Amino acid sequence: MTLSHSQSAQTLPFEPLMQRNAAITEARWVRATLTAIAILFLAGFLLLPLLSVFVTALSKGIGAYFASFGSAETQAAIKLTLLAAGIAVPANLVFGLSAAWAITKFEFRGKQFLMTLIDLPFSVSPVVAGLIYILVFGAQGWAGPWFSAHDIKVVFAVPGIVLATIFVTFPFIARELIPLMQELGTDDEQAALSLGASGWQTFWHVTLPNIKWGLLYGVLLCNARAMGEFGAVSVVSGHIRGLTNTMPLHIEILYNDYQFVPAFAVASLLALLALITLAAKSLLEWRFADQLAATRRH
Amino acid sequence: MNITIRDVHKHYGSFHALRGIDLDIASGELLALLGPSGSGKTTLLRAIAGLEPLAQGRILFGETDATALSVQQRKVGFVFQQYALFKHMTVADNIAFGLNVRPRKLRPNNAAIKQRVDELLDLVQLSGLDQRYPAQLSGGQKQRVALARALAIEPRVLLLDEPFGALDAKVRKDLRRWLRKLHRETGYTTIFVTHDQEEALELADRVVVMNRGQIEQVGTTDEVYDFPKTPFVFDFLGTPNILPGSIRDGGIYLEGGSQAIDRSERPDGLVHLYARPGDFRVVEADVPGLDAQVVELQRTGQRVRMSLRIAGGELLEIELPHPDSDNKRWTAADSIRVRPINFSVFARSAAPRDAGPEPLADENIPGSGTSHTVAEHRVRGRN
Repeated sequence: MTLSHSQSAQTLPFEPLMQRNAAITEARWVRATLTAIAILFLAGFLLLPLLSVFVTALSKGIGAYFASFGSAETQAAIKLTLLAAGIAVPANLVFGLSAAWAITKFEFRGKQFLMTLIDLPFSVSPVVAGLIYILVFGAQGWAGPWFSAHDIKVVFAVPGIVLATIFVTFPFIARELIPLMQELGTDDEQAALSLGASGWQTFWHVTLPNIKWGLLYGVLLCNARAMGEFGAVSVVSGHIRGLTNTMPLHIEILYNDYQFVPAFAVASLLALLALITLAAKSLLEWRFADQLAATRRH
Repeated sequence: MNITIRDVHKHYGSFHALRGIDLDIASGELLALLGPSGSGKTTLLRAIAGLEPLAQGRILFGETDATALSVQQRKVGFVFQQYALFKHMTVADNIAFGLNVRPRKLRPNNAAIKQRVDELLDLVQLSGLDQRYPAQLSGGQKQRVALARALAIEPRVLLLDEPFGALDAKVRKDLRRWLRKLHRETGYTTIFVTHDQEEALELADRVVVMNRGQIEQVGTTDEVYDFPKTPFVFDFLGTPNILPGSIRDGGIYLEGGSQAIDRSERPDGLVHLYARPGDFRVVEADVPGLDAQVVELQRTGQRVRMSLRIAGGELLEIELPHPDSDNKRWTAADSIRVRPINFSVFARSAAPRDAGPEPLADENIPGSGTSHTVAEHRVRGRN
């Protein structure tokens, strides 16, 4: 079997990987055109702008590029972004897991309503999301006076930014897990329980290993969005330099001040974080390809 | 461990899945829950395991009331239809799971767990596969790993949900025989669910035939096969011919026959006579029976299956040895006279073949049927 295969490979060095069936495939020019459109579109609308960010950031040399990160305001913006993402992602991790668990493992009234609610941040404009928090926690909002009486600042302060980030990135993990857990069903959990495992042991040893890839993917997406969120955060931030500016807001301010190199330098950092996120995901998928395949096979 | 089930009810919304189940299961018994889909057999099995909360009723393990016990506390070995093996664990880790999750005080040490896993692998004939992952096993092997995993916790009772449902015919037959042997060796009280009557009859000590959330009949395999108490049981255990007839003056008459087929104690009235294809014999013209025309016949080795059209126009399926005892070789369009020799009689009422959701008819009350075996019947060619 192996022998004859290698022989045929020798006699036919350019053996096509897949035989094309003329009856079910499109004409060559159709395929070429479609491929070209896809590549041109990707290049024109994704790759070129991304490159231009780095080109502009480095236009005054590498020294100016790194000097951009020296300012206290920029460093404060980076710290605030990391803080907001650092709180929003774990919060949504807990929430997403609980929601997915509740929706897929239990039957209860209002399940459909909960699913719709989870999707709300996707459908609501981020500006509205920001305004919601102003209405609730702002000086004129219904909970605002109580908070100001207790000397807690929510709007135009760090808590507001964190809340808005959580709101906007709310669905990522839950949305990733629900279809996965629906497909997995409850047999594995019931088997674990019948073998005497506690609820926590079942979750830790059975459920979590089954969903870890979906969970990781959700976390990465959630993190990317948490760091990049502009609209909702912009509304609740108040744009106080060095205090309530996240990286995206800081980039806008720098840009409006005609500080192109610093603006694009910070933008390149944000883009880099996104690229690292994607690379991490691809790396994990590649590194654990066999495990992934094993868990997906039944 | 003997199990006592009393007046168990279960609802799914408006659907009444179990309607008052009473059942006694003896210690060490191998019991089959047999029925069509939707009959409640799996629900009952899951209720015993504690996977389904009950609306009403009690389940006792020995003398202990298990109704309020959680799944974990019940210590049952449950084998799922799709096995539910933990995909990310090796075979050994799967089997050891029930021991590894025990609280530290009750957990055997690692050496003891390893030894137990080896014993179980040996028992299910999978020695050497301990480091494999479930994805690397065949269906039959997965099934046996699931069984070993369930046995690892030394369960009070072993519960199997459609244990052979996902396997191909050959593996199914082998596993059936193997499970029977395993049961003999280990002696665990075992309950399994199946919709395959052949499987139930071959494997079980006793069979519980279920329909629409109720028990139709409980008995040994011989009892339920030879003396079905309800038309449903008769229908489900084989594909009987259902012949209209009547009881007059203590005799059973078939429609289109002038002589009584057999005596009966039943009151006069319309009845249905249930007889399996193999329970007919060809008889002479002066013996009570049915005249028919051979419509179609299919030879399978030493037997022949025939479709007959009886006087009333209905079709009758029978199965005879071939060639017959008088060396007669039947062909299509032959005239033939046949007599049912083993049959049951049930009072006639609406839709006897149907297992649909309409309310139960009178005839489905257990014990409403009478079983008959005609001792003297002059078979053609024998005298």
